[in-house]
Amino acid sequence: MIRALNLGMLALTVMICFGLYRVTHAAQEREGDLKHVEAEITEQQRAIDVLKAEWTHLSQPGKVQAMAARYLNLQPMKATQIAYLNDIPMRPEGSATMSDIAAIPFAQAGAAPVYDENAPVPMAKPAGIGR
Amino acid sequence: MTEEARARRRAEAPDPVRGRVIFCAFAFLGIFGLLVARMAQIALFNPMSGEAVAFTETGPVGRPDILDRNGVLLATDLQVASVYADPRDVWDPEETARALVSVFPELDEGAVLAKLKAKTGFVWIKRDITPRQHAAVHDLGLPGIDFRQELKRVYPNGRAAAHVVGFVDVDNKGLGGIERAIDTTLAAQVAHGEPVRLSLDLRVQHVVEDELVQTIQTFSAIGGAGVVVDVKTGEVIAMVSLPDFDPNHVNEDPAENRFNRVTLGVYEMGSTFKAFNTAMALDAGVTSHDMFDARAPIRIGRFSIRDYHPMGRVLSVEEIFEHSSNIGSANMARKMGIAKQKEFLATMGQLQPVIMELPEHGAPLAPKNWGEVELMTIAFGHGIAVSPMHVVAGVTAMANGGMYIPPTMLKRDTGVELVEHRVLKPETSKEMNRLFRLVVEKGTARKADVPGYPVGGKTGTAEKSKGGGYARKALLSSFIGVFPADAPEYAILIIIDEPKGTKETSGYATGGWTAAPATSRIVARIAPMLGVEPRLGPNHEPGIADRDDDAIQMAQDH
Repeated sequence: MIRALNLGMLALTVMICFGLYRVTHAAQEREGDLKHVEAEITEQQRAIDVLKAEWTHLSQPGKVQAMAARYLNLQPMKATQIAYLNDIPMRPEGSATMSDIAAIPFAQAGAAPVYDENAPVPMAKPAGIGR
Repeated sequence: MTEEARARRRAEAPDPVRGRVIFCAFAFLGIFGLLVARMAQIALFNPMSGEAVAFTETGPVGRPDILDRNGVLLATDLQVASVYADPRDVWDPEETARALVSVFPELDEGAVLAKLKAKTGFVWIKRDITPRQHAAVHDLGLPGIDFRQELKRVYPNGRAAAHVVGFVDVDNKGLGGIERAIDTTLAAQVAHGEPVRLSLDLRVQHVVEDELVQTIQTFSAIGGAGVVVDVKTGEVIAMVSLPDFDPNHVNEDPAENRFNRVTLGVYEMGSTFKAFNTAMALDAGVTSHDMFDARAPIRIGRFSIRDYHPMGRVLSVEEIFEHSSNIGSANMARKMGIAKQKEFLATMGQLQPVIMELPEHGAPLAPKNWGEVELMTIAFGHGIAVSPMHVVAGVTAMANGGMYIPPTMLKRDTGVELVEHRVLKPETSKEMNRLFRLVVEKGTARKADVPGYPVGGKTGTAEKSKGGGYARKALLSSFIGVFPADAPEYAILIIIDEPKGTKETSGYATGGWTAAPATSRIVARIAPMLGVEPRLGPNHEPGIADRDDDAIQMAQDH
């Protein structure tokens, strides 16, 4: 009986050893993964820092002003161009109503979009910049 | 050996031995039991406590980012690689030098070779290289050549707000502006990793700089300064000093460009300072309609005080301010007396340095012997030199209801109580705002006005003191303004250093012709940015009539 017990114990010991080895190995592997991911995060963080600095450099007010002067037909806003909601007159009698607008083909529900889906979309600015 | 035999032998063994064996067995059992218990405890109840996995710092410790009030980057750290060599490990110095120069054509091959043959263990080959160069050198696979990651301070906005942000040396030590403060006075406040948020608004900063540059060009001036302050919080929204420098390449601009005219420079402000004289009189109970003699120049000792455009009559306080009469101002100061003037200027913070977060602050130059002459000249801004920041801080109190708020370069958190104290009666502040508006409506600063955004203020044109006397042609032209004039939200000071008159200004280079129109253009651009509500009349016309500037005869200035 004692022999059986000893054998059982021996088997248990071997199993525990093996189990322990596997757990340790798995833990080491995970640690390696973690380090890898952490390094990647640091790397990405650095890349983000560079992009942020570059974005700021390229979107300096002075540069934007020069580009606006060159490519846009815009002028600084004047105070007279600002109005209050109350200043907007009510719709005069006999003018277009909502039903008139609904009669326009592309304003109807389910109508095909009037914009070209293949048209280039303006580039989104990187998130978290210029909040 | 059978079980019985063993038991028998044990039973036959002398008692002391048996006792020892049992003792040892229990001792081991106890110790192993403890170990098992502890292991179970660690495994089950203590899964990796925080301290056990301390965060390992990668790379060198950096400086905090500097942001404007909207979060735009003004200064940041970027990691850059630098190449170094360990000459002891270099196999073939000639070959290595040639290979390195192929990547860095700007390096001198002879110099690199000398470095590689040096009898040390470490020489820099090139610091701050690009990622492409990094890859190229890496691909060469040269023994003894390696890289080190370094942090480099970068100012993505270049010259914008350079005097405020400051700069660092090669070892990333702050040498000026907020950068220096981060290493000294702000060190305790700057939590590690947290960015420093300035009160500046980069957009406003740009507009002030843009208009100042143009004005300096137009009038062939040698420099200029501009500052915009929120009168309710004391936050500096823009601070420009020209000429400026690029903090990314500090040594490429003359060292004197680093001089911050707004906080470090002290100037005799001229008529702009009359705001203080008038506020002093009003606060002491004088009314705007009290009369003071301005009929004839005042002679005292070898001095004579005269007006540029003499009115030749008795003037009210209002008229003295509007027409910028020196004689009237001197007589107002005379009524107040030396002690009162000293006390008032001290209360308004004009006799001590304005201590802000910036390490650069100039101490005012007040007369040592404050006599009758000084009393009268200080009334119109001569004989006392203060920094532009002094004037703005004082006028802020005049505009905001009478509270002196120490100006700050850092964004104030909403809800935090201001450290402010009353220096003027609320009625004095109200009256000063009315007088400021009067000067722009009818007086010397008509060119400062903006349709829809009423501006109030005071012009100044001081002759710069040079070599003991005053130089007639070297002017310091300025305009201190508040807007919107009926309930000021911002104070603005524009200074043009040594402007020369042009054909368009009929040779005038006074504050009314240089700084005032610049202020008008600046306010027109920044008021919408700052969310100032336009003042519009019932028919949507600007509250303040759009004037034909050419039709106005600039009868008075100074």
